[in-house]
Amino acid sequence: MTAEDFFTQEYPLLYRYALYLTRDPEISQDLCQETFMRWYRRTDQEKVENPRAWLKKVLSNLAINYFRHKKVQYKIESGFDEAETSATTMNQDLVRLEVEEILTWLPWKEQILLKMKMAGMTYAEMAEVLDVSIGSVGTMLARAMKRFKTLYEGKEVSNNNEVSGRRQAAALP
Amino acid sequence: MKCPDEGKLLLYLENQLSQDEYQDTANHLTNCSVCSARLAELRENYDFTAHNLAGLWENQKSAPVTGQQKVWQQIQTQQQFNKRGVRAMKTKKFAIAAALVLALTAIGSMPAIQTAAANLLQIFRVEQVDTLTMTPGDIQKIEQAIYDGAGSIDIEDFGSVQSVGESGAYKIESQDLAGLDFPVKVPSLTDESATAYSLQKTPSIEVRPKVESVNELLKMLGSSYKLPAALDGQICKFKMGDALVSTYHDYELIQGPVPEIEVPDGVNVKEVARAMVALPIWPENIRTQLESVGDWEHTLLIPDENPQKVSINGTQGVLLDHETNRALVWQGDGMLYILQSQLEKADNLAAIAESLR
Repeated sequence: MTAEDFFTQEYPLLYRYALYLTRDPEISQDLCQETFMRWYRRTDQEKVENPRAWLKKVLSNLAINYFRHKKVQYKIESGFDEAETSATTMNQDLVRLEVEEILTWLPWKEQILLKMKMAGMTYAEMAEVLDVSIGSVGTMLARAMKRFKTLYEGKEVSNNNEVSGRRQAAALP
Repeated sequence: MKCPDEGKLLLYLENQLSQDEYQDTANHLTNCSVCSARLAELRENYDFTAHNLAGLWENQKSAPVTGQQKVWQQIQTQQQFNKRGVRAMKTKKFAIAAALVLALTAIGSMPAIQTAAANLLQIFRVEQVDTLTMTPGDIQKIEQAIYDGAGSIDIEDFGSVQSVGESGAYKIESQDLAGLDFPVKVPSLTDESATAYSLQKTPSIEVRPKVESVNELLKMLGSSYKLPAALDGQICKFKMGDALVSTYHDYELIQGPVPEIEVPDGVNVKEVARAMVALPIWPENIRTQLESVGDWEHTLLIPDENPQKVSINGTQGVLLDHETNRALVWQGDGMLYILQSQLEKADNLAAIAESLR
């Protein structure tokens, strides 16, 4: 397979994964570019057992570093929603947006961890890209799930100052 | 066994514990009603989250894909730059700008020659790096000014330009580092070691000017300065040594001997530089910057849209700070260093730079 064939085959999947993590098309493109650059710089590509998983792992790592440095909260706006295909109904969209927004009230590390988990990454992979132990992944994930549910149900989270003040608006019907 | 924390319970639920740990936890759960209640709550949180977030990833699989062609082109462009050793330049426009400045610096280094010492060479080494703020608009203005003054020009009319020597990057191993011509420096902020090394070979550029044609061009552009006839066909050389590229997890460090310009002996570089700066082709903001360069023999200008001066252990360096790509360039002890990253913040880059040992 030529370098271009490989790119053509893998870009859409990788881009969607990047968009899923970052919500930002531009950033997603940049992260994909850097990931593929790293792939093409490898002189031992044949040693990589599963190139697709490798790309996903490297991109996750780049995304994490991006957030670590940006310390950004995810934003709901960005052109993404207009571009959404009509295949999803209004109603599903609304639910999805609510879920998206609730996620943004979590610390970025918990957001990205939940997303990676839902995208099927293994504990070992998550530990590797976050550079922590599997035990820590468990602890962070357990905390993130609890926090997500609490916020979704509109409850106040007590003794937690990591979540931004916006959570007051979290109460949902 | 003491009560396991939430993280361990989750790993238990997900079957991620070692056999022994799993058994210990299972035993504990049968005896501890508090923990089995905690496990139930955890399972509820897990199911709730999975149920609500599952759609997010499923939806994403049909999201429109953007930028595919653009990204592929950028990858190819960047790969070509890598081959040519212009790693810090992100866009094609700036590579052209760099080439232009390089060409002008080279032209700027071929002047007044004393025939007596014609065979001896002067060697100028970069002793400082400085910023040159230059936008794509400025480059257009310069191109337009040259066109207005002299029409469409071909660099080949003004002399031969040859590249001499090997070009390309070669992977090397860490045990080969000791054999390099220079002592290799490594960041000491963390004990992280480089994941890969390669040696970047860049050919020297040799310019043999056709003095008559160059003088004609200078005249057309409105300069009264003339290169001396004795310089005709003499070699002026722009030399880059081999550079070591160390790839770290989040950044890349490039180090190599500083570039050198060799010109025939007796050439008055300052005089030539003054003549070049006086050419009426420069937009005002560029001219002001060029005029402020005090030491043309030893200064490497780094052109960029918004280069910033930074201090690295007391030496001036240049930071190119773009949204998704940063590069820090500085020199010290006869070496030129470039630190580049898509991820590290400018402050971090400076800290890494200062930690080189």
